[in-house]
Amino acid sequence: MTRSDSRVFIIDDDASVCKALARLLSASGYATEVFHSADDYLEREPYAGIGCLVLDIRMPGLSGTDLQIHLNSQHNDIPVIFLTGHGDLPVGIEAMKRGAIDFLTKPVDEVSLLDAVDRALVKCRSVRSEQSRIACVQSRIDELTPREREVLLSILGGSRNKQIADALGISEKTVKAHRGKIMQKLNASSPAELGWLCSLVNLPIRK
Amino acid sequence: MSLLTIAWSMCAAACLMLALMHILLWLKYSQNRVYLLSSLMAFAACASALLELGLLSTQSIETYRVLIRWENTMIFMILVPMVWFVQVYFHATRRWLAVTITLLWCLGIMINWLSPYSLTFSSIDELRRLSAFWGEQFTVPSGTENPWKALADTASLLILVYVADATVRSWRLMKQREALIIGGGILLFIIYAGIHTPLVDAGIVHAPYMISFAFLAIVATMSYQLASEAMRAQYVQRELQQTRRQLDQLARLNLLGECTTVIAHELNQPLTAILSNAQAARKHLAGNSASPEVIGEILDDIVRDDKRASDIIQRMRAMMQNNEIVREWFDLNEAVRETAQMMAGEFRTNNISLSQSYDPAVPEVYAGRIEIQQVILNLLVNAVRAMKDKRGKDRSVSICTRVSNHEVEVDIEDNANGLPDDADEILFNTIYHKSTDGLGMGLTICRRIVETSGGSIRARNADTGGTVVSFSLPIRASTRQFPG
Repeated sequence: MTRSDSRVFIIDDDASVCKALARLLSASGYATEVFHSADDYLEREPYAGIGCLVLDIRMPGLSGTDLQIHLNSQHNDIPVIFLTGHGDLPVGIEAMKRGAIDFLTKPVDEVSLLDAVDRALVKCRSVRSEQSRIACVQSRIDELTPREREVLLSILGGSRNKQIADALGISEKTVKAHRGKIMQKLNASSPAELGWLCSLVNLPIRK
Repeated sequence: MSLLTIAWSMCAAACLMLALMHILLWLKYSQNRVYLLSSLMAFAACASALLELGLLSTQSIETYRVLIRWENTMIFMILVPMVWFVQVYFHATRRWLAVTITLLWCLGIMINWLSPYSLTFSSIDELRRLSAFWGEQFTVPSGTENPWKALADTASLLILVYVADATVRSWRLMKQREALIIGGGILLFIIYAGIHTPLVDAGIVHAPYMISFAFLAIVATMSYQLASEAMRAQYVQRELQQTRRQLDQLARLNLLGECTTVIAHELNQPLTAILSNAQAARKHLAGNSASPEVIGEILDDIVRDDKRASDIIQRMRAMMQNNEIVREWFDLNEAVRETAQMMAGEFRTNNISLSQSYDPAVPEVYAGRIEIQQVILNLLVNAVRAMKDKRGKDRSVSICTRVSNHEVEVDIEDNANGLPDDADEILFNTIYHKSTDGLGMGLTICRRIVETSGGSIRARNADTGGTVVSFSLPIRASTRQFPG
């Protein structure tokens, strides 16, 4: 396991709870950071690595729920584990609907906590690798020339070479050449893979 | 000893006993004039029985003259209280009739003492001695009837009408048992006496006067009814007291339940810290990564959190103890401050600012300290709940104590959404289900607690749009002013 490269952010207004949770998590091999309020966490520079939040709900200032909503609105998809003194079912359901990994009640057993943290980190990792793949595809698409982009969009739209050639006013042979170039630049071996790669970056089917 | 002496003495004794019993009842339920009237009747009946015995045995006209005057007076003293007894007992409506009867009898008794041979006779010619069937002799007068006796007869007739009327009314009002026993009893024996006595007077029936026995019977039926009513009342009262005690206990538990939720939340924090610390220590030890310093630090933290938890439990226990209300002198400001302190965590985590203002002139009050603190705690919990729907940063609750007009007042104001217009009545009087939190139930109990201490509690909308709940406690005469 590569726990040390991932980081758990503990956000709770109770100092001794924070300290104890941090101890338990670091004894289990995680790097931790402690914040006594949601606002303090937001002041930290954005974290792009593998990590998750262990978040209390009722806190002075921004509540845990508020923080989750805020992060969602910022497209910050760091996984959130709620840890609260109030096992309030409706609040829990809402939190889970908004994508929380788990909704734990205090006092929490290490097994449940570590399990939730592991699941959160697995999710974070897969999200991050997905993100890096998307970034990679995006950068390759960005390398295409404007003409190649036009041809790509037409291919994705389901047009045949002849139709593309007619539409763009170029020869069919040129279209074929562009097509080969695109496949090469995007490192795709088949039109199907090409379609899949483009769907990752939400490239529009029709313009 | 003669049979007549025995019978009339026993009658007198029975009347006396009933009279004493009614006096005792009257002393116990001194609000109720019914007992006083019935005891007066019974005392008079006792005297009447003894006088009657004298009348039956005397052979001197002079003595007879004196005794019959007194006997008439005793009859007056039985009948008039009886009329008023009926008036009070049945809440009879024809008061004028009772007044008329009383006036007639007052006039009659004046004549009784002014005319030479009492109200009954204008002259007594001779005293005849008759034999009872067992051979004993007794005295019967013979003489001219006093024309003023018609006054007494009219009064007796009116009494019959009056009692019959009251009885029928009461029967119609579904008080059948009372009507039957008291009204029926009185009517029956009055009719008996009213028939028997004139027959003896006229010499038609050769028997002694037996008015005392009729009166004894009336007083006895009254006693029977009144005593069973008193017993029933006592039983009902005991039941009621028990129910109220149970209800109070239930209500207190309910209130505690609400407060406990707050305290339990606080308890969760140190418990979480202790558990995680202990599990961290175990991990350190299992991984051989433990330095004695680290373990020592962890243990120190566990000890500290444990103390924190036990402090919370101590506070909770103080609230739960004492099922009976213990009234004492205490500093209200201090009690309010302490309770607010208990809620500090709750306020902080709910992002509510708390402002407190204590009037140093507030004196010590005499009440159940723990109960009053529960009331304050409950009101604060309610204020926090009211704030649940209010988003944003400007959540605030203010507590303020002050002195006004022989009272101390505690205001707890929130700036949430306020109350609907008619909420004050609903809030405190019934089980008001605004939410599933049982908010109103708490307030009903708060009201009870405050009112038992002689105070009052009310809610109104604040100028800021929130709610102010204020309760006041009386300032009792005490030299113990508290400096603040």
